[in-house]
Amino acid sequence: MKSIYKLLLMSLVVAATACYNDFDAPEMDKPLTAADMEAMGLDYISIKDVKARFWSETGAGAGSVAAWKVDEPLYTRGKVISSDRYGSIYKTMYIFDEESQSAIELKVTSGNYLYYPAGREIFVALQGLTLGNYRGMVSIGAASVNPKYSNDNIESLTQVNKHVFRGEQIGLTAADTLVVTRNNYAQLTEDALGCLVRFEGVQSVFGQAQWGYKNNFPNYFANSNSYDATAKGGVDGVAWSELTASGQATWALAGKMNDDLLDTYFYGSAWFAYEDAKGSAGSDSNAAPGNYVVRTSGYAQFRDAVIPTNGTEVDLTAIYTKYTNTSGRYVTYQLVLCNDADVVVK
Amino acid sequence: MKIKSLLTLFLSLATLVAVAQEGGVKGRIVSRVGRTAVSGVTVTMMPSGQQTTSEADGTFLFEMVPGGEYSLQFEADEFEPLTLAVRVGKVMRDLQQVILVPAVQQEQLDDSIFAEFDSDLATDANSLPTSLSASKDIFNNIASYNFSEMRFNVRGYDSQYQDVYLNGVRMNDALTGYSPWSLWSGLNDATRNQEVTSGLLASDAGLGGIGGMTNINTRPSQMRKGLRASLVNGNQNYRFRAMVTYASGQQDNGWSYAFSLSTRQGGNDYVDGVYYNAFGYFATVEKQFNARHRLSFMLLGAPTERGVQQASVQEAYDLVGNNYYNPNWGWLNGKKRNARVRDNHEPVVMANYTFDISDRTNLDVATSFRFGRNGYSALTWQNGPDPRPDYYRYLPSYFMREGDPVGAAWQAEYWRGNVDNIRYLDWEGMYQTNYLQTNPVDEAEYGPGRRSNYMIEERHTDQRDWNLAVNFSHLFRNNTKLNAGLTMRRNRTEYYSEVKDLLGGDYWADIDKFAQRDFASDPTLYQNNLDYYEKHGHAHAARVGDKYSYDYYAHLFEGGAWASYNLQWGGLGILVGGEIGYTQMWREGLWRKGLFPDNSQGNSDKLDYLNYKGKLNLSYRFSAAHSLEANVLYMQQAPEFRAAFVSPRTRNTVTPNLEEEKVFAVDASYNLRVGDLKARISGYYTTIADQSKVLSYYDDVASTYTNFAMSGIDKLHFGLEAAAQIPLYRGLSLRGAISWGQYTYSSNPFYVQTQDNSAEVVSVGKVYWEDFHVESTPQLAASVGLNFRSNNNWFLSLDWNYYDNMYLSMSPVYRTDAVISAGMSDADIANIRRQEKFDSAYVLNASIGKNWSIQRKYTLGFSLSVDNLLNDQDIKTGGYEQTRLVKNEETTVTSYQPFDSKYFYMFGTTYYLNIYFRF
Repeated sequence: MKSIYKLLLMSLVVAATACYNDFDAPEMDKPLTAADMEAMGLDYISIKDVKARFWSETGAGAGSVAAWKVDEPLYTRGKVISSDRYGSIYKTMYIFDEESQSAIELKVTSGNYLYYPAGREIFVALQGLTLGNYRGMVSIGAASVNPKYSNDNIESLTQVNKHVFRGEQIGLTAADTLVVTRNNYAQLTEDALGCLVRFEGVQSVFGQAQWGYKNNFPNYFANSNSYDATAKGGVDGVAWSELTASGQATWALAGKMNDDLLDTYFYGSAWFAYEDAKGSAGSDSNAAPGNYVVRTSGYAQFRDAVIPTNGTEVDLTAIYTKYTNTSGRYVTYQLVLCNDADVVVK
Repeated sequence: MKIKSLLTLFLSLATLVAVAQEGGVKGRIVSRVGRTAVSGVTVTMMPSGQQTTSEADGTFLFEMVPGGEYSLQFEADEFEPLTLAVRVGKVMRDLQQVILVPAVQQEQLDDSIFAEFDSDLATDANSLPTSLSASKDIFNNIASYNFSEMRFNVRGYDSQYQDVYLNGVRMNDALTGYSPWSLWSGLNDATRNQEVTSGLLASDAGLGGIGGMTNINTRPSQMRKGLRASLVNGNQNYRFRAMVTYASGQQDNGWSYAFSLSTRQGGNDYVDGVYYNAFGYFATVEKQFNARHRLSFMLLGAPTERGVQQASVQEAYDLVGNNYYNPNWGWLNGKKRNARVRDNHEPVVMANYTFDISDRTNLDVATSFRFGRNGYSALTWQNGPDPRPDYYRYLPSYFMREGDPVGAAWQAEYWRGNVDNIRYLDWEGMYQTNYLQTNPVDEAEYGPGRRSNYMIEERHTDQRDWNLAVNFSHLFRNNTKLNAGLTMRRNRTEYYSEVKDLLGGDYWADIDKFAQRDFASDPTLYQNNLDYYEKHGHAHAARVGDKYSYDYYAHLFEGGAWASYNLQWGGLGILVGGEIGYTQMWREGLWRKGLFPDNSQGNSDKLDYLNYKGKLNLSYRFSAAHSLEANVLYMQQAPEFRAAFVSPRTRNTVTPNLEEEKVFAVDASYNLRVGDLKARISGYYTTIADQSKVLSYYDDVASTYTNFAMSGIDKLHFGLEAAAQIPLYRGLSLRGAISWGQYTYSSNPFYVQTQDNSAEVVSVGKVYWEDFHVESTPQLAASVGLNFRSNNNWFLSLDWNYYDNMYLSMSPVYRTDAVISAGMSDADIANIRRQEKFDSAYVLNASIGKNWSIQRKYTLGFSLSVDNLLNDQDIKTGGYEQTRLVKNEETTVTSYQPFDSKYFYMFGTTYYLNIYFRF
């Protein structure tokens, strides 16, 4: 008896389940071209010229809060050279224009590697966006209401889609990376800010820098708790040995401090320099050329990976950025890693 | 000599009687409920047209009936008409017991009238308010029909306290206790025969709890013979419904059968994206072997697909311009696509065997099996900003909080003008993003193809529920009655999620995204299926139809025995009942979770509970007109499975401090019945202690996904119910009901909050909500209406309903110390903890109907009901507080502010037109 019912049931089930509303997948969008941008009535300006215009429009110094809201029908173009997939970059991306050998930061929303993968050409319609300066780095974003910041992220994807357009997926080529070696590092200029740079033969240095704030490296800092791990360790200051599980220095840290129930996320600062530059005291409290600080967010997925030990020579590929204090002094050149795989031990 | 003559006389008389008995039909008519005799039943024998009426003891007799085939029709007030096919021969045909089923007063309520409440704390089970069935009790009759528009719960109880039986088997959901109306949703005609007891009264099918019992009877022999067909058009839940039911009535050869088919299709006039694509089927067959044995089989199912509405914040409703905005859908290729769709098909098969051991003794054995699939779809994403259109960052209030009034004004303009479809999901954008996801890193790990960032998943709770119920009843010579029963239940439910639609991608990488964020250095930690990872070296690239994320069984075994003894002593009736039972439940994980490799796969601890119940029903009948009732209950029952495990999707950890729930209830009623005047007034007092509950949500204070397990939740419910039906003039009567209650939380429960991806304790403490109100149901509900029934079958009604004392569902998080920061004044603390009370509301409803009798055989009729005649679209029927908080980090000490609450509103004017035909 039961099997007859099961058979009846089966046929009814088959009939009933065939009724789901099927939706057709849409056509894939075509990539845009410069011609499409011109058809929107926009004029091209290169990234290099955009940055130059920013400084001339605002007349600002490196450390100050300065904004330029673009009200002309302009667009710029670049290739995405960064990826925020691994968490070290957040709500931002960098685009590079091979022609003008210049790059700029774009402050947008999260998950950029999904919408603007590395190697894709991007067009940015600038009208209505705000260019701003943060401690020496120019970026394109939205107007900020906070007087401490020049500009802000373009928060919603809808807004981003109004200004940022996808072009061809070209892919990253050798031409997209600037190469710096122990012989030519002194020629690295501020024009390279925002670019993807491979520092060949740079050395990992543990110890106290003679320039700037004379910090000990590597060190860790968490804004949320104002907790400076270096202060804990005393004169040598390398408290990371107490904090990391392996006892070795890692790119960044997450851990429970004191009796907190929750994790605190510390960003890590690691010092890399060329052999002949690492002892230099720099000038005017600024870092000496050839000295770079790799700064990694506590939210990076590779935070638990170990920093190459003191003296190890590596080829390191990262975004080249600048960081000053509010008066434009104590300049350090900071490197942002997309992934620890970009650090190759020689 | 004298003895001989006496004997001869006796024998000759006997022969005379025997001759007189030649060719006839007799029987004894009893009610299905309690097998009590029914007098005054009109019995018509067709085609001869002979009629008789049943005696006080229910017996009836037709004598001198020529042999042949006849049809006996039984009709009585308050009972469903019954037709029996009878063959009369040369001897008196004794039909023994003829069972009549109490009539259903009005149109069965469809469970679809309750709009689906979707919440951010996406629990997959959906609790419907209580009392979906009309009953003879005057208060429940009015309350269930009129107050359902406000999701009224009788006495404030959750549906888990209302027992719903199908042919003697308790069908409440094994894991949540919720009432199972969705199993036969749309099969209104098939399930019309119901016996309803309310409140604390026990019934023949079981002792019941505090919320009354409904026993649905689908035995074909007791269904009204004939065909019923109906067509419905409406704009409240679905556009169109068609239903056809046929019951054969009891045939002379002892067979009877019935079947029903129905469909509900379409959406409504208020909320976009909500629709029904539902069917229902029902078939049953019964054989009466002889006067004493009956066996029946039944199969029913309600394959349903329906789109669901999500509540939103008032800010969004105001920007859109109406209170029915649904953020769950978006346009795709010109069609509306809803991300949250329920797709269930859970058939039930049942076998019932009845053995009438004697006129006074009865044995029923029932067994049922429920199986099938129950899925609830949702949009999920791996990375990127939240795609939901009413996410707090996309609303003007966020811009205002960030100090950007210009941005806020622009955002408000975009919402008002729906610029770029800002109000809806951007399906097109999600497809385009998925098309881009071909990355050499992913290809190396998962193979070629697009790795979806967005997809539609379908969360399943697929049940296999087997029940056995044995009921025994015996009526003693002294008219005392014993009812007893044994029940057994075994349930195994599979909880899992499956990939439903990859939205333009080719696979979904099955990893735990929160764990990857926190523990990326060790890939084993973010695996959902560690065995798969160890075998293949990477996570599963799930495709459409594949299970992903979690897969576990919930096991439940329940056994129980109950008995009640009922005696009548003059006007006093006493029923004493007791029940004892055992529940065992455990979780069986099928996958090894990377975060908890030792505590996720395999069986958890087996949790055992002893359940027991004691009940006393007292009634005193002063006269036919007045009676009093008083009832007491104490029971202890196992906690529900959902509350037993802290994070059942990831691990076997049992909720700390889990205890059995204890309920104590007492009520008293006075009933009045004078002619057509009926009235009842009742008072009740109930305490519920030691409930547990687990919530899972993203916590802003801890910045991580957490499980919030509460225990020691106590509630107090007390109040008054009153109802009356007063005949005014001819067919016009006045009906009214009022329910006034106070349902509050009577303790500050204890909580433990753990981080979901590490099991570390994040916070412990108390939830300070003592004396706050139990949510959602209006604690004051009143209805006054006029009802008219004419002699030629017109009926009209007009009802005015009033509601007050409705409170918003609270987020326990806002009432803990974790959200209190230093420097908050007492006023600030009180403000963050206070509970929102809804405005009072009143609603006017009307209905009209008529039926025509055609050729004394067919009935054609219609009924039209129009609800919310005043078209009030500002009545909140429910909602919930969100669990998230706004963090203000600009101030020296981080402070928190609750997010806006989300609400559901009652629809404006709606209509429901039903045209039916039967013979």
